[in-house]
Amino acid sequence: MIKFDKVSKKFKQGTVALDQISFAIDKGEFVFLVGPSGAGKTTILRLLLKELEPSSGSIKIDGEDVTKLKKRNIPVLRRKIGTVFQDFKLLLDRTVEENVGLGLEILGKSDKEIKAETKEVLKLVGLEQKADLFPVQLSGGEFQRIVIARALVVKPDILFADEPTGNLDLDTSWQIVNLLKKINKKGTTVVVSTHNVEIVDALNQRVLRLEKGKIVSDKKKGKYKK
Amino acid sequence: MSVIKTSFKQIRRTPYQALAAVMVMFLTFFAISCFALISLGSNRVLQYFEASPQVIAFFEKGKDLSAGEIEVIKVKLETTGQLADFKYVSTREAEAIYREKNKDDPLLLELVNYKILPPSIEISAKSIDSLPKLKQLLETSPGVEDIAFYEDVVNSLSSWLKNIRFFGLGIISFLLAQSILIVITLIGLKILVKKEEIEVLKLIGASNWFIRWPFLFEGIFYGTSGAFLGWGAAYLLLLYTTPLIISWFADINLVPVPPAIMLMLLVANLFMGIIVGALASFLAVHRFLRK
Repeated sequence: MIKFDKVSKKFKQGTVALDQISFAIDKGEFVFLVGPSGAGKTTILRLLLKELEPSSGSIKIDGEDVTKLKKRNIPVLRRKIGTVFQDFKLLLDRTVEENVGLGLEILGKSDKEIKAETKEVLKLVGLEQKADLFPVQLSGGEFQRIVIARALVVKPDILFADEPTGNLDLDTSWQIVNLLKKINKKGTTVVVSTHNVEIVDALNQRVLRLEKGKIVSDKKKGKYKK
Repeated sequence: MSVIKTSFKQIRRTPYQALAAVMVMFLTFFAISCFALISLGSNRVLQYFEASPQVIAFFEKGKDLSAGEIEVIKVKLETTGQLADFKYVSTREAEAIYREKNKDDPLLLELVNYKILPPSIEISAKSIDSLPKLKQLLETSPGVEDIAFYEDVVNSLSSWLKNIRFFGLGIISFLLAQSILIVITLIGLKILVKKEEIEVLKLIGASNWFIRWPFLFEGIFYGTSGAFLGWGAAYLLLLYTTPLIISWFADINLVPVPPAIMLMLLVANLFMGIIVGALASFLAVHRFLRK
């Protein structure tokens, strides 16, 4: 489903964010991407979304080389990947329902369809009662759920969650991770980039460890530490 | 939320900017409508003078030309290919015209009869430029005693019309450019305010057109509103000045302007409004999306 082949990313200032990394993630997998800050986790997401271009190597999603994708096809690629951003990227002047419905609006769905599908996904993340509230009226955990709902509503093939538990207490973090597991069980490939040792160790899933732009370990049932 | 709904939400949230844009567009389209009506009117005045006899040749008083003499002159003028109209007015016809014009003054009618009136040939040219040549040919025809030549009237009208067109187009171009620049600035400001939202939309898969449409509709709204209001104001001004126009141009049928022409002017204004508004918005969004 996702294949990185000898991908490097060097920024203009000379910083090497990724150095010849290769890995593959199959359809329906749940993968943790771990490593210290600056290891290159977010760069992987930005490369997947074609927000950045790799300096070398190839990135394939469903066999299609992302690096060769034409500019006009980037939106189609991005609709395949539901993204939970580290900084949420919510629109604060829109209600929960409107934020979640954004992806459907982009797909050109009717107001009726948007309402029905948004309601369904809000129920899944446990926010159906808060559809008419604005993001600022919600807690950190609920914030994160809106972002997950927004990513899920378009039924993406891949869900990439970048530090989804970063600013949350342990209980809320578990709620979010359980939600991601639930989504994965429904068949969506889930990639979670995290620093949360406890959650990674408890879940016993595949762990890809990045350090200084290199993959230092890739274990099927891994732990946070090497 | 549909694209149009998003556009109107954007407009409602910045009412003063919207008002400024509509006012600028209004001024532009008011000028365009006024210019179009003035241009149309001037053209009709010119046509009126062009259709009137432009050269009249008078012959010996009381002595009509024979059919052969008239034919010779006509053929000579026709060889230029520029003759639009040719009319021979006999002494009897001249008398009838004179009597009709002075029917209220018996003293003048008593003094004049066909014997003291000259026969004449009235001609008009296909274009003003060929008038001098036709005049010259007529002058050299046998028996011509006097020539009345209206080239100056038509020429000065034509030159006025050219000037009106030149200055009108200049002012309209200036106003159009100003409208486009103001709408680019206003939409540009709105884009800056919505920068984060646009970035989020792009990251979750919005195409450039999805981002563009609400702004394009906003520009089209400004353009068409200004076009409609400008046309309406020009129409009201035309109706208000109708008595004045009638008193100035009594013989020329300038007003009322046919509703079909006013409708065509409205359609043309709205079409231009769409083009100007959409172009300005497109340029503003294009600058942002290119970055």
